[in-house]
Amino acid sequence: MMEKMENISRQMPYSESEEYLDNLVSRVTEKAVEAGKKKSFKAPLWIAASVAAAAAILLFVFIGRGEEKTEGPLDKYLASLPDDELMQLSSYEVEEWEPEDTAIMEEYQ
Amino acid sequence: MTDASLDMDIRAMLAEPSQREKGFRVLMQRYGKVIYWHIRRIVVSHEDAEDALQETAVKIFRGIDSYRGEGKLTTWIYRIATNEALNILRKRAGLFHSIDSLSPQLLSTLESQASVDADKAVTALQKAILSLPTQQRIVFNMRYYDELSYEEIAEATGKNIGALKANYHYAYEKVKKYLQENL
Repeated sequence: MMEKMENISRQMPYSESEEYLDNLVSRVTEKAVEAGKKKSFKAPLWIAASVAAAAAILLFVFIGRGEEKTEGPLDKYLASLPDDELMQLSSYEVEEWEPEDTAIMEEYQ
Repeated sequence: MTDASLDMDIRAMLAEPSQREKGFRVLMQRYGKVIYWHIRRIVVSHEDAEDALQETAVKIFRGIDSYRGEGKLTTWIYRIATNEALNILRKRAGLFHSIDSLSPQLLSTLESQASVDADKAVTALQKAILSLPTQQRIVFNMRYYDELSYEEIAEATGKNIGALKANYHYAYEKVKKYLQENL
């Protein structure tokens, strides 16, 4: 005999009881809270690790710069020169000698 | 307390950082079983439903910050739960098959997990629903069992209302025909 769809119960044909499902939902809720807290604990750790890495990079760069600043006798000499002489020095270009030029130089010697 | 005022209370708790955990617990108490049954109707297996429910709960708890109170709380929850249920089916179907191809497998799970005391008509209705394409099946379940409006289903699934109405209409006719032939 054909049964009308509207007359069929909307219950599901499974055997899980209300009590079982209440327990399941409680368990799932606790696990989700725990997982959510783990994530929020991990976030500050991740941030702390990033800050530490950035600090290490900055320290490395500053130490490198410090080494660059070490002055030798040439640096002291250049520092003592007036600006116009420094400009002259920086614009001075060494001309490359061609083989023929070498021959002329040898003639003069 | 009415459902609407409880939802408002939950939303208020979720919006307040110090009350979020409590709000989440109240939300799960209120909607946990509803979510379970929505997922179970999609994945059929109890074990898969439990896994998807767990994932849904984690995503809801972690996503509280992104839920800005726009749209209904229920449709936000349904969206997450539907996606998690579909993810389970996608894993079952594998890369090269559509989830619609799982129909025989889902039918066999229904037969093995249905209670021996279950009403024959109730089981037949489930079989009829499992013969539908997945999208029609989800729309049918949300309308027929969860009694959601088309607007709510549209918000939860991201589909337009016209398409949902057509889906439900086709699904209803197919289920009716199946029951006429099998009961």
